[in-house]
Amino acid sequence: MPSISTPAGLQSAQAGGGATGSDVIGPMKEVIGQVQNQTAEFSGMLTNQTTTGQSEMAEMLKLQRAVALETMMYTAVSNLEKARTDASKGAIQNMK
Amino acid sequence: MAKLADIKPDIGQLKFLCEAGQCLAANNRFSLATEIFHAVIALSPQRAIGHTLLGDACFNLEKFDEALKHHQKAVQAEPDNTFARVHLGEILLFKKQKDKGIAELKKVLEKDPNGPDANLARQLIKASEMGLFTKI
Repeated sequence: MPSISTPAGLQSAQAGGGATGSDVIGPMKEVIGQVQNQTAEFSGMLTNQTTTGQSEMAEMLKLQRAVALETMMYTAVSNLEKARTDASKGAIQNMK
Repeated sequence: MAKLADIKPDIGQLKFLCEAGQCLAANNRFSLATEIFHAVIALSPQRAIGHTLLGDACFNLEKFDEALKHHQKAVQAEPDNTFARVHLGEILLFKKQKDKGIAELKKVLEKDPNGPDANLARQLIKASEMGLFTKI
């Protein structure tokens, strides 16, 4: 049978067998408190940009945008150079 | 010694000089190219091409004011020459005179929309819209 890890107080209450209601409620409250704390901690982690990678994602998107812009500029300059060469060649060839 | 005015080069010789100058310019020997283009202008001052190629060499030597002067002379020499006008538009864009530059480039597009000069004009307009000339 799989065992469930519980606080020491609850384990002792289960092990004792004939524990009263108040013996069980105390450790149960402790467990609930712990679970609530962990849930709060987890929800905090979900909204934290550092632990979810949101900030990394934002940086990555910024970088991606910068690279795309640079590529676009490079292509524009490259096309410009080709067009300049073609225009010069054409102008010389078409001299009459 | 023959006077310059006595030398009447034929079109083939002028083309050869222009191509030689362009070859030198393509190999970054702009000063030598400049001398050749000065010779082209001296031999055929009524043509725009010598002025334009000289302006282009000056542009590559980062002598922008001088380049503008040569490109303006080229357009004066041949107002209908799209090669001269597209280069005037280009230098105006480089000198941050965007409106004037675009106006010259649009004239090129109207005059010969399918030629290589129009293609250069289109590329220049596109680059200008991308803000390329404001970054330089």
